[in-house]
Amino acid sequence: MSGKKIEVKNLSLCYHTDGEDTLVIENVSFNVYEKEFLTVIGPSGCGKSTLLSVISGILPPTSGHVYINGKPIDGHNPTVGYMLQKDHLLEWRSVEKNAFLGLEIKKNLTFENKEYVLSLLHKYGLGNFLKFYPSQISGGMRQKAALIRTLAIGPQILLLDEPFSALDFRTRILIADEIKEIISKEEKTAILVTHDIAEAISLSNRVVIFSKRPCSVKEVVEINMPEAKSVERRKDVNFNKYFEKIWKEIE
Amino acid sequence: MKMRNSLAQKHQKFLRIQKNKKIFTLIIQISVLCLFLAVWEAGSRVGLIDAFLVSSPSRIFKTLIELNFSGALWSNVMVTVLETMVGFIFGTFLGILLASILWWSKTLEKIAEPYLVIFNALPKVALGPIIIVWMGAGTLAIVVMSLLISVIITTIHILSGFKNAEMEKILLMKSLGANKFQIFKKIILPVSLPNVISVLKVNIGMSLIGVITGEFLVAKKGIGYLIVYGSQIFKLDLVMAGIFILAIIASMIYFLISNVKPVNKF
Repeated sequence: MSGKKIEVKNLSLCYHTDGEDTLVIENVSFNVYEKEFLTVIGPSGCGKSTLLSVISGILPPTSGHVYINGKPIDGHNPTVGYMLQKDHLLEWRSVEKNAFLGLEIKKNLTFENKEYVLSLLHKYGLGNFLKFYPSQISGGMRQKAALIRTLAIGPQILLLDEPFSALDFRTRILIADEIKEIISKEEKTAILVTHDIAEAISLSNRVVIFSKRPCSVKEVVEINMPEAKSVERRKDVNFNKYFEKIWKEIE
Repeated sequence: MKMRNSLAQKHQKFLRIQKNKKIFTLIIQISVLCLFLAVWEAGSRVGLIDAFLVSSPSRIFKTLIELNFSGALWSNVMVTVLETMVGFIFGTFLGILLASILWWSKTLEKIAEPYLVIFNALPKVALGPIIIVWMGAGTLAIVVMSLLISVIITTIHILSGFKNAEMEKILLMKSLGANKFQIFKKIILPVSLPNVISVLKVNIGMSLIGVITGEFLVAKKGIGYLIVYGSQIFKLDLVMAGIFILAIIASMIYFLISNVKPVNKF
């Protein structure tokens, strides 16, 4: 594994409300390496999604730092792409127009950039659906379109916030594989947030286990399995061993 | 094959019954109107009701013909329709503008809140006399009246529509580096388009109320003026004819607006 891509150092986050302060993230530190696929797992509502918002630069931390490529983040960072739980494709835009959204916002809708996005759409099976509206394509395709929208602005890092949770079980596994393949082919670093243990083991290089709120790092589990489709990984002899280990760690 | 035939027959039958129901409803609706008019007409002819006070369909019809030939019908209709349109367009435009400003600044929204509530609850008709003193007894006062009636309710409804846009969509826009204006243009406006259109439908009626109230007070031209004038000279035929015209204008405007469908150009 090559150099550190993301360094999260002593990160804490506190929500201030009228009545009280709620500590959501408490002194979290971990690293993500270049082209690594890291999964953050923890009980629901523990603050995993909040962590991604901090790394993406949308939410400023209360204390601590996040370094990307060695530089501390400050506000929106174009090297980070964020994929949310729901695809949030805009219903009034066609698939290709949705994929162009980020470029439009950055006022960067040049011919080359458009060609790049179109090539991604063609490469990953949406070539025949460019003019379709989101309501006309399947959930899996929508999720892929959302990924390509994120990839369009050329991020080096992808933050995935339970992007498969709305899909049915079979589609979920197939799309997770496909999205992982796209991410490794395009040579991106990824952080996936999930509460699905099997998904975490079958996709990632390392799993960071979070405790209940306020979340802190409980354990980091290295997954030593060969790169393979997640269906294959789920059949691996070591799969159950990892499953049990993580199961015990999550409260 | 037989199965499919019988299914097709059943479907045909279902369609026929649906169609018959529709025709039946229409026949009853027309009959109710005819019966009402007939009883009214007959009652006034026989002397059961006083035609001087309640007029009668034939007298209303005669008044309409007279108004038509004297040219008073169309000039007054045009005045009312034009005033309504101007009041509607300005009221809607101003309402959307105000809502946008209040969406933009949370502080401003908080400051404006009590004023909006009070001004919304206040019967705007009460402002009529002041408006006439300030603007003069003319078209301007009528248009302002119509605008005042629609603008606050427009602001409140459009603003709540703006605020209904999913937080997550806004988060997505932020993650793509969008500024506030881009969020407004690419998310807030298109998301609230159906809401805007339903507000328009309510607004056109509001504007008409404002215009008629204004014409009552200013009393120079328009259908509102015809009605007030008719009552002052005790010509109830004219009053009824005015109301009849108003009903036609209102329903035509309603059909026009209810056919507006959102077109997405964002």
